Amino acid sequence: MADSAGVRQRLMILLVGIAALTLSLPCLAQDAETFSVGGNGQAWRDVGNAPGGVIDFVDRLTEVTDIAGESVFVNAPDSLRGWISPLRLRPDVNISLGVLDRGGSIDVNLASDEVDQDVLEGVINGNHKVAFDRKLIPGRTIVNNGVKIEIDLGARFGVNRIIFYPRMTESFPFDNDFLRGYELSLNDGLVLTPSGAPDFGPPVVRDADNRDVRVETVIEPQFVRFIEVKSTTFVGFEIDEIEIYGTGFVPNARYLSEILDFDDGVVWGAVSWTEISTGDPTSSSVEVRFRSGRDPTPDVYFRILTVGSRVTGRTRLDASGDTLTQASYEKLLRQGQRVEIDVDADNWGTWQLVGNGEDLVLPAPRQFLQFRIDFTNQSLAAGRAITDFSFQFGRNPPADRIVAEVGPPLVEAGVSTVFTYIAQVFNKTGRGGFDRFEIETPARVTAVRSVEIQDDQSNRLSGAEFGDLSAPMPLTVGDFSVVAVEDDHFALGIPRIVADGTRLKIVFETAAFRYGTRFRGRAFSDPSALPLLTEGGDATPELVTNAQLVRVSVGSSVAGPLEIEPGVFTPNGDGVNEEAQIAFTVLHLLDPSPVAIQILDLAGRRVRRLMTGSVVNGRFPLTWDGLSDSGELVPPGVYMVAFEIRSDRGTERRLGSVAVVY
Amino acid sequence: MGKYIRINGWIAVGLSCFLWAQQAQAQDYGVRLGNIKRGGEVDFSPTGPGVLFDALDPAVRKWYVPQELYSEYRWKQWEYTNYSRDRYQRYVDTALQGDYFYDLYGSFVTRGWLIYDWRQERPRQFGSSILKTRRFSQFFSKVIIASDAKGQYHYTLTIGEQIRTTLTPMTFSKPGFDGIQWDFSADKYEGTLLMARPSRPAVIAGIDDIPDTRTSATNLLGGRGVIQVGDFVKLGATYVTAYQSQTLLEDVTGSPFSGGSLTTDQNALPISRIIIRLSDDSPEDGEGGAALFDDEIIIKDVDGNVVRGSSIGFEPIREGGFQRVGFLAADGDERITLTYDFTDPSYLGPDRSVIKDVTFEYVISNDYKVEMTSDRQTNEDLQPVFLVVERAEGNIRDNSNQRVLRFDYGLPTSNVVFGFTLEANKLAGFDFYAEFDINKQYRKYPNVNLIDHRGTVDDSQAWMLNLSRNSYPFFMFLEGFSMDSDYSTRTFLSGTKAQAEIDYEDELRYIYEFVDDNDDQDRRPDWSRFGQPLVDNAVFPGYDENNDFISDFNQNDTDDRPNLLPDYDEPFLRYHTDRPEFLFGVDMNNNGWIDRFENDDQPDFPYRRDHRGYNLYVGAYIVPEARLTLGRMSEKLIDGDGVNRMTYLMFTYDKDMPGLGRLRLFENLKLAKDTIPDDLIQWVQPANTRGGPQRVFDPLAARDTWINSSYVQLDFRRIPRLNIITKLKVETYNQRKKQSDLRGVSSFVGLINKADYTFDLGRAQVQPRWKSEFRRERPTLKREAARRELTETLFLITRFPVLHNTVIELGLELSRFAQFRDKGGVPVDRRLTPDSNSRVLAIQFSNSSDYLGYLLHVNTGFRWQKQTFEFLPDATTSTVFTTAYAGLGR
Repeated sequence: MADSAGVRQRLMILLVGIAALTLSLPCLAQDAETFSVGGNGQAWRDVGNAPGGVIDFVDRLTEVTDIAGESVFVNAPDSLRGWISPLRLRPDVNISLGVLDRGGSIDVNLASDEVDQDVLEGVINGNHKVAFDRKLIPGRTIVNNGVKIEIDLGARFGVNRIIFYPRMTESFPFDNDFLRGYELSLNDGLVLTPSGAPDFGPPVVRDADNRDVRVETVIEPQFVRFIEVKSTTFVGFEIDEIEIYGTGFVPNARYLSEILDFDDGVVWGAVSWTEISTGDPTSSSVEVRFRSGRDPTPDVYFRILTVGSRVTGRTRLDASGDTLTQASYEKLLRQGQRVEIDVDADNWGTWQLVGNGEDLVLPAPRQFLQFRIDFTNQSLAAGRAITDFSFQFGRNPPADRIVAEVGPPLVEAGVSTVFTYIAQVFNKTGRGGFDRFEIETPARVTAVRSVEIQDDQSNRLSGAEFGDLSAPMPLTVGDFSVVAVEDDHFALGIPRIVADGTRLKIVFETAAFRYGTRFRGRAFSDPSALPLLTEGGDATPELVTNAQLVRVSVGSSVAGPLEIEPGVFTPNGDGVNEEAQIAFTVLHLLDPSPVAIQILDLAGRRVRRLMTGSVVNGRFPLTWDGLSDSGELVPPGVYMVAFEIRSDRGTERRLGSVAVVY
Repeated sequence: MGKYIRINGWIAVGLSCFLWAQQAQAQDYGVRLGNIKRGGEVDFSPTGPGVLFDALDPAVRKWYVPQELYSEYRWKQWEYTNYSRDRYQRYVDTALQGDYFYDLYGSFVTRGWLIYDWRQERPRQFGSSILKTRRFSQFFSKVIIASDAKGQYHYTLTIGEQIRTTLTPMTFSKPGFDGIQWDFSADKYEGTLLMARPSRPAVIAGIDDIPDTRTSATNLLGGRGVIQVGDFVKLGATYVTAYQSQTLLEDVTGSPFSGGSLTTDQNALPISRIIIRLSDDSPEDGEGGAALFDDEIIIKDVDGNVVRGSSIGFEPIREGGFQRVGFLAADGDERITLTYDFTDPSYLGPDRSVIKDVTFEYVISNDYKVEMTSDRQTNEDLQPVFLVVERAEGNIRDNSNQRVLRFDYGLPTSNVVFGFTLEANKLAGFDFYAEFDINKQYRKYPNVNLIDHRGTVDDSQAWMLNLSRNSYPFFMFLEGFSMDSDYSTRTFLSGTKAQAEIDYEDELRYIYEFVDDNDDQDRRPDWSRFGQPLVDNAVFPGYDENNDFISDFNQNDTDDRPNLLPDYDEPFLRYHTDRPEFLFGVDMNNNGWIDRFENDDQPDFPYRRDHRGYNLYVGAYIVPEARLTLGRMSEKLIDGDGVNRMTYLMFTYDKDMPGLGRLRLFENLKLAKDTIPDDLIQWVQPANTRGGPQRVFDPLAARDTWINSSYVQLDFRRIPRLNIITKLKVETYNQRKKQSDLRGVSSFVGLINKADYTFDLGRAQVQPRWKSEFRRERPTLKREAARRELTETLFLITRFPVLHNTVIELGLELSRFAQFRDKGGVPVDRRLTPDSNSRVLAIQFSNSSDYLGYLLHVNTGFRWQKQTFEFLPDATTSTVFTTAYAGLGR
């Protein structure tokens, strides 16, 4: 008892982040608006729905209680309202009643002319007048041995009790027609055949000589999606209801917003929410994804055309010649017709994962937006809830769109390269334009060689040459300036660009460290506005890449070159050649990996630990002043510089040498 | 000398008379009709009809040359038939002794019956033909054997439907191979050749003896050769292939060594859509799944033109996953699908009817699994069936394994396994066995306009080595092993039905296994496959020590009279049978089940797929009865995510002490870090059932854990007619780190004491018994209830012999089951069985007598049982019976 209370006591608030978010965005756009759901914003039910019906919409989290009536989220702040969380099953709620509403189904392995689907669905509708009847009566020849009723719950649940029985009312006294022999099999929805059908293993219960009218099977709580009841006798029977009960949080739940219409093209800002967990926090998670589009239909629905059992093609039209919609698609699906869904890739982008407090990185401006929230629980006792879900958007982007591309498309990983970046502005609607432009870079740029504005025929209108960036910022040449250079981007001040078709060409020097390095631009109409992000495409005939992504040679090594300069140094205090500059490069990595840079003597003993920590990819400069770990000057001689990185694939080492003389 | 001349003279006279008689007999018709071609000493050589000079009679009348009626019955065409004296004989079937058969060279083989004929003729429709006539099963019970030997050389040719065949444990091992096996052996050489058509191997022809013909079929060709080198070493080589064969093709096309050929159905239509699916190879961790940076399709047509998708704007429909910077990701249960539709109007590449092959180049990283399918790779409902192309090694999440993955699309046509073995016995005191095998899985891209299709092949490897030495009192054993996750000894079958279609999902009808799953090592494989006569319904390895196919935990269960109670729960039987929890043994995979009792649904490879590692132990006999072993085991999943590293110490003591009894001790201490799930399908017998297989999941109870398992058993036999047995089992799991779903300390303590004493009371034999069973269990999983319970049972069995063969037995059993309670008097867990008392009274009248050659046992009796429960109503049951058994021995 104390243990479970302790678990609940570990309940954790992960982020209450609006204030923090405000701090992280010092220049929050004056024209930025906030779209809010939950908390003080719109109601969750008004903005979206829960496919599968396994999301709980609760006003106060204290309403989520266990069987003893105690709050599951014990430390939930009472001040926050409007939560969503994965459905937590109550022991007295029959899950099977909602199967069809959740998109689940009930089926039996009999020919369609032998089964009345409405009667079959009566097994899971709570109506005690209708039963799946396989009774043997004179004049009726039926085979019951091997008849299997399969229920798809429509979602995964922590099931712990399954009950079935015949009709036993005064009007329908069929107590004696219970299932005399049966097998009960379960599938968790994850173990599937190659074509996606549930792969039932051996039955969890097998009773060849059942004598219970009301069969109640209690099992260890386990995640279940598909249930199969199989008759193992020839004796006639009927099943009035199959009741299914469970416990705990459902393992997977999704909230899916409607297609949000922002009337006009907008740009996107940061997203944030408040999240709370119960149970073991490592056993539950929440993922939020967004996508944006140009029309209100992100999905394309198809009907499969067949001749006999052979597929001959597919069409977007229904039998009446009308384009399939979600409603008509689902109707066809319910009718047992074969249908498919494709994503409208022409008008909609793919889902993009976003973290709490992060910027939305979506194609923009776009009119339509959709988001989804996926809850995943690996334990019945663990769950999460969120509220105060919001994101920023701006209605006045500086242009209709900006298409950009970068070259060369393929470079050597970790090697400083001159890149040419060209962005073309599309602004037929006459938006206000921009005078500040930033480019994301994988590492600090070493030079911005030139910035040039061209007309739609690629004729130079104006420009400036900068060269290296050793001078203090801002670095100004005419109307152009390099405003800032950071490790992950640089910013330019430029004459305001408004005209449709205008191109901005920037030549700069940096290195790419992994395949798919993205050089994305951000255009600001003023420093306080939300930026318009560039999108990859054909911006100029000068480049043929048509993308903002740069590929690097796919290599097998994550440890890049180890550079040491000079090879001999004299840390004798005379102010000349006092230090050795050491730089190591890490390639390809997406997540931080531990690295260690050490100075070793020729016997392999560590003299100085220069750096330990975790890095992603990039080039990392260090300095060795000739001192040992104890702070003393090392004796003259040759020393080894050891660079070691431990990635998921293993440990890699690079060695270099440096000489110390006095 | 004169005597010999006289004898020779008589012989010459006799021989002359014999020849004259023969000549006279032949003259009966031969003089009139010329030289005989048929009849008499018949020559069945295929020489064709000759010229009969004696028949050159220039007459208009027409006598036909006497044939069957004359040679069989002496009936002549010109003669009046009168049966008054010599009665008519009915016709006798001329095929009574069979037909006439000739070999390849036209030499007459025999007159008899065709038993078996397998031939493949190409190019022709239905060119693959197997005929097994009824006589194959009726005369020979489905096995025919031809053999010969001379000196050291022996060979045997076996044709059968259930041949126990093993080449090596990792290449071919079946308890019921259906085909032809040719074995050869000499002093230093051994060899085996296997041939079969597994897609249609075993159909015994009906009354008409019509051969089973197919145009497309799956054939199997395999073999193994072993050569002895020196006195101690044997070198072996193995090759097995199962390949699709199509008899419409010329001989040189689609040979087993070039990956077989596409079947008529596989090659009937061009491919319209190819779907590639990327997913997370370790979905349970929910992160670091497939990362797709770039994708490209390369299409080559029959004229050799190569087109890249990017150059013609042919993009797949990309669905699923989510966008991260520079790549598309699929974590957890997410999937990225890329659909290439060659019928899409925007597709400007070669027409699908002239595509020769399609290659994909993906820049990919992290823990990916790549699968592919097409509209020609479907199940029975024409739903696409994905087959795995590649899985990432390990569980990489940081992009450090980024690579360009290049693969071709094709439909599977062949599976080849070949390898080498090295075996040494007593070489410098060591025994050694090593095996290395390569698996090649061929695919070919269909094109109806091509005869020879371009193939692609996926390679995988497996190896194992065992090294041991016993040098008393010391011993050691080393094993190393590795088997790629895609190492496969299964192949698709084509032509099991009338058409050559393949349902790529249906394992029962369209899959053939080189290595069967047969964990109980009986004559039936544990899984159901096409061509296999029966499914094994009773798989409980180790639970059937008397090999009667009945679980030893329910020995009195038969199909005729099913028994729904395990013996350890059944009155009277429960004295001798103890629960499976009291078994002990080695559990190297730490899944809570003793290894020798495990049942799975995998081929019986010595080591599991996707595993790589080693195990080393050394030890010594402290005294002859006591053995101490220290070992280290380390294995990891190659493509999956998991390791099993274990250091273990084992002590065993087994001594039979005259005058006291037998003492057995077992102690096993392990430090384990095991995150590899080893799920099983174990035989369990819930109440009111005959038992059956049930999927059992590995709780991963030894993620970082000290495990101690101790067992003591003493069988006390010092006092005549008194038997005392004591068993104590103690098993503990101590978690070194906190696990959210596991108890910190979990344990099982079980103690069984039982005693029986037999004495005579007059003519009666009386046997009181006592059994005490104590269990205290704290399961490793928190969600499973802890239990602490004691069962005390008293038995009294009395036997009264009556007359010669009659016995009356009276039995009484009193049992008390109690859960231990906490301080408040509450049971440890109310969900468990409540406390109860049981009283059983039984009487049985037994007669054993001879009847009609059988030993007849007739039992008549009555059993009454009353149970009282703590929370439930009382239950009273009774049984009255008269049962007769006919046996062949006492």
